[in-house]
Amino acid sequence: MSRTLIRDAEDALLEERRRLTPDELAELAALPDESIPALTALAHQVRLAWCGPEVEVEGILSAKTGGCPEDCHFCSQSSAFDTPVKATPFLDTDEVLAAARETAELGATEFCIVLAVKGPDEKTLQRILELVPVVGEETGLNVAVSAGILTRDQAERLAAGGVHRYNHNLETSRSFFPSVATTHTWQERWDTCQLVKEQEMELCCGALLGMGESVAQRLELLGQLVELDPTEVPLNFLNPRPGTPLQIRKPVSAMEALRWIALFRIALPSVILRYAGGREITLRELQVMGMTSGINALIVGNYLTTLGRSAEEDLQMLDDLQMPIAALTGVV
Amino acid sequence: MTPGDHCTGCGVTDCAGCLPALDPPRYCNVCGGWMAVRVTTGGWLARCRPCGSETTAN
Repeated sequence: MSRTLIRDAEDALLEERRRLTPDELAELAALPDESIPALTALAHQVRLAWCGPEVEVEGILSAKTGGCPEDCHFCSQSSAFDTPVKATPFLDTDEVLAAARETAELGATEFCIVLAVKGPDEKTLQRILELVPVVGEETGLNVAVSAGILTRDQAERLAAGGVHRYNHNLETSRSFFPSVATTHTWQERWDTCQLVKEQEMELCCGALLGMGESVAQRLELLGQLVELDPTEVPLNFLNPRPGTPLQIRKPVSAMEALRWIALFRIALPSVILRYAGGREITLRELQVMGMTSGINALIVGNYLTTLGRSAEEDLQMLDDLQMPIAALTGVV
Repeated sequence: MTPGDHCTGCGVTDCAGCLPALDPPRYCNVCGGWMAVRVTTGGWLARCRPCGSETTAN
């Protein structure tokens, strides 16, 4: 039965070159653990066939940390929770440039400036619009921005200001979202994602697994991402942060993480699927397996407020896998 | 952490060390004060707000 399901999915994705239906995805999600290696092997084939062997490497920077008025239960930067991450002001231009240069020196092609805000106020938007061209011109990096919920006017100005990709995560399914945040709605996130696409910026829209959502809710999220059709999906696994409501949750197991990496690739065959936060504590020594389970991009080095494994380890991993580094954009 | 020092995870002196493995210091080892931390791709810089001491890694 398992072999038949995987063979049928292979035929659909590689021969017919069509996307799977929600029912077909649900059947794959229900496969027993013994089938995970076959599922990840299929996901790797799909990635190579739809996207190629290249890997996009990105560095991210928290340019304005902490003090966020939102109550996302996973986040150490929320002012709603007593966490060790306190508010610090917007970094100055030299600090942002130094961080971008450091990222470029590692061979990355993408640099994302991230701000812990509900959405940008006018002063913040002006600072972003000043920074983006400077960073791009000084480093040659593609500059992405993550600054929360946008108005149409703000989205227009960011697009006109050279922001080629905007990050705004759905994080989880519509049905589970009220368990994750109460100060804004899933619909507000969806609307911002639509504005980003309307303004022809590339949409980077990520997920965070391991917050207590069910398999059905993960599949619901996949369906919503299929509908949204982002250029990039950064896939995060919960790293339970001290002081947050989700600090008591256990990280996703390594094999479960690999199963869902594969399912994300199979559901979104042409997307840039990026390794993001939590992979170190979730996958530990199995991180290389994610690269052969559908991942074709990664955040290198550190994250916003926590540390990753060394950039050198990741770059060596890519070299060993014979996966060249390249800037990617929506394929197909 | 050595005896008498402040824990960089919580700032107190009677803690055996609670800083998660993949975190930069959050509190000052010298005075226990809160540290402003800038994390970049290749490193971090932590500056103690009360006493001004800095630690860094690249």
